[in-house]
Amino acid sequence: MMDWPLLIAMIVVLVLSGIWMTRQRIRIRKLEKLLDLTNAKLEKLQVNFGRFTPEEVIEHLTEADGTYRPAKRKVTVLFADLVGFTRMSREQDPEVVVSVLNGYFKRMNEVITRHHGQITELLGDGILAMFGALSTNPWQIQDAVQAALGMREALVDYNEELRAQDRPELQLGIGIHHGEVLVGIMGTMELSKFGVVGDTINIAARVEALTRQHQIDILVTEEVRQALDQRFIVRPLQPTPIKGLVEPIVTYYVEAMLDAKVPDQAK
Amino acid sequence: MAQLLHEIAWGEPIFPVVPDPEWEHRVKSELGMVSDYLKRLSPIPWVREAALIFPRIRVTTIPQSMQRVGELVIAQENACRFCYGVAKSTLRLYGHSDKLIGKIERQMHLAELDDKERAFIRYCRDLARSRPRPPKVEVDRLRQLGYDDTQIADITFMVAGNCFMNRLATFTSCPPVKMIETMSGKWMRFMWPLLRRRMNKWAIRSIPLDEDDDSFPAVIKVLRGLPGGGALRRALQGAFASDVLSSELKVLMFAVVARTLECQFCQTETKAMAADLGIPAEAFDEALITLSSPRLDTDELQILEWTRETISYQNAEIQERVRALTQQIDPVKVLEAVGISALANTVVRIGVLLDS
Repeated sequence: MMDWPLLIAMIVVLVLSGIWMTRQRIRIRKLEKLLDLTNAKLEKLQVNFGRFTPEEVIEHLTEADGTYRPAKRKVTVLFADLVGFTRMSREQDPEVVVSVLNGYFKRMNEVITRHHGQITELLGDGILAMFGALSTNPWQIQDAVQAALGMREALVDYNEELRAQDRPELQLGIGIHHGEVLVGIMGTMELSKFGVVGDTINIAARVEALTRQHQIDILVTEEVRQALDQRFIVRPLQPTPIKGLVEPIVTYYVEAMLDAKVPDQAK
Repeated sequence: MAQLLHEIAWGEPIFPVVPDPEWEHRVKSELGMVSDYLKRLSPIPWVREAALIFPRIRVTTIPQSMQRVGELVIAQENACRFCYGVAKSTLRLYGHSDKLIGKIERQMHLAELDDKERAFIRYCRDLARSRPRPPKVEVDRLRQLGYDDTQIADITFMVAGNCFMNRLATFTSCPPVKMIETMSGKWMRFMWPLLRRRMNKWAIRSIPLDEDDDSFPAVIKVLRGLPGGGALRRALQGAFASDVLSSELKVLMFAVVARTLECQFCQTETKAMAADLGIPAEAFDEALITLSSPRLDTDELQILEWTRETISYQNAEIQERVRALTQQIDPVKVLEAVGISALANTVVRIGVLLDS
C-alpha cells in the first residue's frame, strides 16, 4: 500500500527545498552583482586617488590596519617662484594671467618630470618639487640642479612665445636645498592629504627668496653644492641671514653645467 | 593600483625580426614552434638564449600553482603586456576559473589565503616592484612562516627571472603571443590537455651547475641546486663574454642598478669587477655620480645614462626612449643594452638574499 501522507509530505519538502534553493541562488547572484559593482567603484576610486597620492601609500591605507606610518626621508627640495607676479596679476586681465600661468606650469612640470622630480604642490605661482621623495634616487641632487637649469632654459623659450603674443614676460627664482623631511598623511579626519613637512622645505623657500636680494635666478645651499661634481659651475655668494637659522646661510649661484660628453667645453 | 591587461600601454615592436635559420631550427626542435619574439632577439645570442630558457624554468620547492599565480602578479606589477597575457592564459589552461583570475588581478583573493600564501604574494609584488627593494625583515618573515632557505631562493629567482623577461619584453615592445591567448579561450577547452602536456614538456626543472662562477659568484651560490642558478650563470657568462658592448659599460650598468636599488653586496661586487678591468675606485665612483666615463664612447654614454630608467618606468616612455636610442645607436648594441639592464635588475633583486 502506498503511504500517501508520507509521499505528499516528501513532495512538499522537495518543493519547499527547491523554492528555498532558488531564492538563495537569486540572492547570491544579487550579492555577487553588488560585490562586482562595489569593486568596480572601489577600483575607480583607487585609480583616481592615485593621481593625488603615491601608490604605496594607497596600498598601506587599503590594507592591514589602514594606517600610514609617517617616515623621515632624505630628499632634495626645489622651490620656484615668479618674480613680480603679484603686480602682474593686478595689472593684467585675469584670463591672460591664468593662461600665462598655466603655460608656465605645463612647461616647468615637463622639465621637472624629465629630471625625475615630482611637483608636490602649486602654491599660487610657486612650485614645490621633490626629488627622491617617492623612490630612492641616488642622483636626486644633480637631478634637481639640472631641472633648475632646464627650467631656466624653458622659461627663455616661453618668454619668446609670450613676447610674440604681446603678453608680459616672466622672471623666475629657484631655491634648492637637500635634507630630511617628514612624509605622511597630514590633516584632520575631515580634510587630510599626503604631504611632506620639515625645515628642508622652509629653507628651500627662504633660499628662493634670496634670489631677489642677490639679483640672480638659481641658488643652492652648501648641502647641495657638496654633492655637485665639477660639471656644475657654481659661484659662492655672501653668507646671508635667513629666518629660522642662527647662522647666516651660505648659498651658491648656479651658473651653468658643462656637458661631460663634450670634452672641449671643459677646457 | 596595478593595471589590468587591457589597460597596459604597449607600442609597436621596436626591433625587427632577424631571420637566423640555425637558431630557429634549434628553437623549433625544443618548443615545436618559433615565437615571433625569439626571432626579434636573435642578433644577440646570450639574450635570445636566456629568453628561451628563463620562462621555462619551474620552481621545484613550492607548488607549481603558486608559481603560476606569482607570475601573473609579477607581470601585472611590471605592467608587461606580453608576460601578463602569457601568465593569464597559462592560469586558464591549468583550470583556474576566470572568476578566480579576476580576483587575483584585483588582489581580492588575498582575503581567502592563509598567512603563508599571502606573504608569498606580497614578496612577489614587493620584490618585482622594488621601490624600494623588500627589506631583510620581509625575507625573515617568510622564514618565520615556514619557508626554508631553498624555497626562499627558489621564489626569489622566480620573481627576479620574471623581472628579466618582463623588462626584455617591455623594452623591446614584443608583440603579445596571441596564439596562447586565443588557445586559452573557453571554446578551445578541448585543446587544453594537449597544451598542458606540451607546456609540461617545455618545462626546465634542472640545469647543471658544475663549473666555477666568475661573475657574481655569491648570487649563483645562493641558487645552487636550483635550475635558476644554472640559467643565471649561463646568462651572466654569455653577457660578459659578448663583445657588442664594452665590459666597462656592462659593469657600470650593473653598478647603476645596484646603486639605485641600494644593494650593498652588488655595489661592492661591481666595484671589484671594475677594478679587475683596470678602473680605479675613484674613477668608478665618479662614473657612478656623473653617469659618464672617459672610458666609454658617446653611444655607450647614452646607454649608461638610460640604465637608471630601467628600474622604475612607464611603458610608453621607456619604449619611446628605447626606440629613440635605436635611431641614434646601432640597434644591435641597444638590444644588448636591453638584455644587460634586464639581467642587472635580476641579479640585484636576487641580492636581497645577501643583504646583511
